[in-house]
Amino acid sequence: MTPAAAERELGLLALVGTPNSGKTTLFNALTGLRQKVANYPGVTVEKKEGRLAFGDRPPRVVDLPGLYGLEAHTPEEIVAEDVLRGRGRFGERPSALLVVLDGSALERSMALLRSVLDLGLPTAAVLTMADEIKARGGRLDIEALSRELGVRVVPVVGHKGIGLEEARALAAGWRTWPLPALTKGPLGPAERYAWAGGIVERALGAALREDSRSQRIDRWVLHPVAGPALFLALMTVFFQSIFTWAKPAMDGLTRLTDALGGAVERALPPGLAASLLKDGVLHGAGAVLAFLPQILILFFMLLLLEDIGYLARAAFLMDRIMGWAGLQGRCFVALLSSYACAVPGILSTRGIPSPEDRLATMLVAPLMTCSARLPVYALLIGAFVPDRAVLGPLRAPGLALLSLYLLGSFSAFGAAWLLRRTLLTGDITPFYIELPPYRFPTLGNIAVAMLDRARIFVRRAGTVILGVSVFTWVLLNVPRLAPASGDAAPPAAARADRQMRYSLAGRVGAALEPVFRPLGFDWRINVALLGSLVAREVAVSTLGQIYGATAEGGWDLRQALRDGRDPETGRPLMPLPAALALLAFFVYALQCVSTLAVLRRETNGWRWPAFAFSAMLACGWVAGALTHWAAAALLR
Amino acid sequence: MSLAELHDGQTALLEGYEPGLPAPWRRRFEDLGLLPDTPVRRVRRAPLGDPIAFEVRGTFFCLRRAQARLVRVRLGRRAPGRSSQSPARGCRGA
Repeated sequence: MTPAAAERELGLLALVGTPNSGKTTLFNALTGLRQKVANYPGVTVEKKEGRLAFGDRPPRVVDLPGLYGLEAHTPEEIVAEDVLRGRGRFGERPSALLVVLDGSALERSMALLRSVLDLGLPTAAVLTMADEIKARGGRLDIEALSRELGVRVVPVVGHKGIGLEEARALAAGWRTWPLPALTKGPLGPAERYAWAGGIVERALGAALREDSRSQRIDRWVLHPVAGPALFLALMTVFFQSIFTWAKPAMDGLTRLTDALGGAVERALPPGLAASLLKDGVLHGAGAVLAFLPQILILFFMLLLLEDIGYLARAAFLMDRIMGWAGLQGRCFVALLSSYACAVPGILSTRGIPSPEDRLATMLVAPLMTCSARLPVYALLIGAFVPDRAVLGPLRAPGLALLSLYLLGSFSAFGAAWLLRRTLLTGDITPFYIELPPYRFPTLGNIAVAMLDRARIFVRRAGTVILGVSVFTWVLLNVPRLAPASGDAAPPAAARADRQMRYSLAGRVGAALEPVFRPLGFDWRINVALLGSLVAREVAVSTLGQIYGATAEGGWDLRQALRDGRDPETGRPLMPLPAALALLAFFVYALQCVSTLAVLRRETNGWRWPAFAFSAMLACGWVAGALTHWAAAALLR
Repeated sequence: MSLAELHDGQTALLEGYEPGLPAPWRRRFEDLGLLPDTPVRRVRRAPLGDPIAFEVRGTFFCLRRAQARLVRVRLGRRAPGRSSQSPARGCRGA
C-alpha cells in the first residue's frame, strides 16, 4: 500500500462546532502537542491539523473553523463548509465528523448538529462545558441524549480535564460510528431549533436557566462607570508589565551576555575572531533574547484575557472609539496584541469581516510600540534623559517612555483615520460580536500557544537577527586599515573609530550623510539605522559596536553615547538633538522583515508592504527632521 | 418597533427584519436562533452609547444601533414555564 493510501486508511476526523464552544481545548486534548498549523491553500484561513494521540492506528484530526450553520459568509466559514461538503477546494472530505456540543449553548449547538447530520457522514458528538448543564438546573442523562440525537455523545469538562481520555477513545473508534438515520431532509432554522428544544426538554429535564454567573459579572464589566474603570486598570497592568516586571529578567539576560562576552575576551586572543564572537554573535542575539521574557508576559496576559472571555467585552467597550478612526471593536484587540509584536497582531486581524477595516488595521499595527523598540528607547532614554522627578512620583525617564508609547498609539489611530478616509474608503460595516460566557482559563491551551510564540521568536532571533548582526560586523571590519606605526600612532579608540569609518559600512553610512543631515545623523548613526531596517533590535548591538569601540576604560554604552567625543574634532558623537531625532525616527519607521513578510502573506502581494515601508520611512524621516530642528532651536 | 428602541432589561419578541438588513445577517441571526416569536432581551448599551448587547436563547451578542434598527420586534413576555425557548409549533420529527 502506498503511503498516501495508508494515510487514507487511517482516516480524517473533522471537528465541527460553533465558535467559542471549547473546540480548541478538545483539539489540543485529542492531538496532544502533535499538531501543525498552516494556511489553507490560497486563503488566509488557518488550518489546524494533527494526529490523534490514542490507539495504534490513529486518524488525522483537523480542527475546522467555527460555524453557526452550513451557509457560509466569512472566509473561514466558506472553507469549513467546502471541506464538509467535499468540494475539494481546500482539502479532502473528512471520513467522519466529531461535532462539539457546547453545554453552555446547547440548542444552538444541536441546531448545527442537525445540519451536520444532513451531510450523511459517520458522526459522533462531544459535549463540552458539561458541568454547565448541572449548574443551570438540568440533569445530565447522556444515554437519553445519545438516543434522542442518534449519535454517540461523550461529556467533557475541558478545563478540568474530565472526560478527555474517553473523548480520545471515542475518536479512535470512528469506524464504528453510525451513519445518521434521519426521517426528514434538511430542516430550516425554525424547525431545527424546535427539534433541538424538544430534545433538551426530553433528555435534560426542564429547560435550562440562563447563565447567571456571566450576567452578574457583566453587570460590572459592562457597567457605564465600573466597566471603563476596570478596562483602564487592566490596560495599566498590561503596560506596567512592559515597564517593570520584565526588567529584572531583561537585566539578568543582559548581564549574562556581558559575562559571556567577557569570558570570550579572556579565552581568545584579541583579534577578529574574539570580536566577531563577542560583538557580532553574543551582543546581537543576546539583545533579542533579552526581551523574550517580556514578550511572553504580554502574550500570557492577552491569551488569558481571551480565554476567560474578556477580550470580546473589551471590543464591545472600545467599538465606539475605534469607530472614530473608521475601525471597529475587534481592531482594538489586534492593535493591543501589536504592543507585544506586530506580527501576531496582524495575523489576528483575520477575524475582522470588513476588508477595508482589516487592511487599515494591518497597516497601522506596526505603529503600535512593539517590544523591539523598547531596547532602543531604553538605551537612548537612559543615556540622555536625566533621572529627575518631574511631577511628584513621575520621573523624567518614565515620562519620556510613556510619551513615546502615546505618540506611537495616537499616530496609529490617526493613520487609520486617514487611510479610511482616503485610500481605504468603504461602507462602515455592521458590527457584530458574540460575548461568550466567562470561563475558567485552560492553562494548557495558553501554554501551548505561548510555546508556539516563543519558538517563532527564538527562531527569528537565531536566524534573521543573528545573521544581520554578523553581517553588520563584517561590514564594519572590512576592509582593514593599514596599522599605524611609530610615535604618531593615535590612541586605540581613535584608531578603532577610524577603522570603522574606513570600512564598507562606514563608507555607506558616510554616503548617506546628506540624506540624514536634517536629522543630525552622522555616518555612525546611519550605519546603525541601516542594520535596524531589518530588525529594530539590531540597532542596539550595532550602536554597541560603533560607540563602544571609541570608549575608554570601564564601558557602559549609555555613557559612551552621552560622553563619546569625536577623536579628531572633539565634538559629541551623539548630540542630544540627534538622539531625540533618532527616537522620533524609531517611533515611525517600519523596521522589521518579519512584519513585511506577514503583510505580504496576508495581503497576497508586495504592494501593501511596500507602501507601508515607504510611508513609514518617510514619516520617520519627517518626524526626525522636525524633532532635530525643534530640539536644536530650543537648546540653543 | 425596532430592536434599537428597547430599554435596558426589556424583552421583546421578534417580528421580522427590515429589507435593508443584508441577507447574510438575517441568516446569521436565524442560525443563532433569533426566529419569529423568539424572545430577545436588551442587556445594556456600551458606555458611549453604541454598540448594544442583547441576549437570545442564552447567547449574548452585540449590535450597533444602526443594525438594531433593522430588526423589528413587538413587546411581549416569554411564554410562561419556558425560560429560553420559542413556543414550538409542531414539527418534532427529525
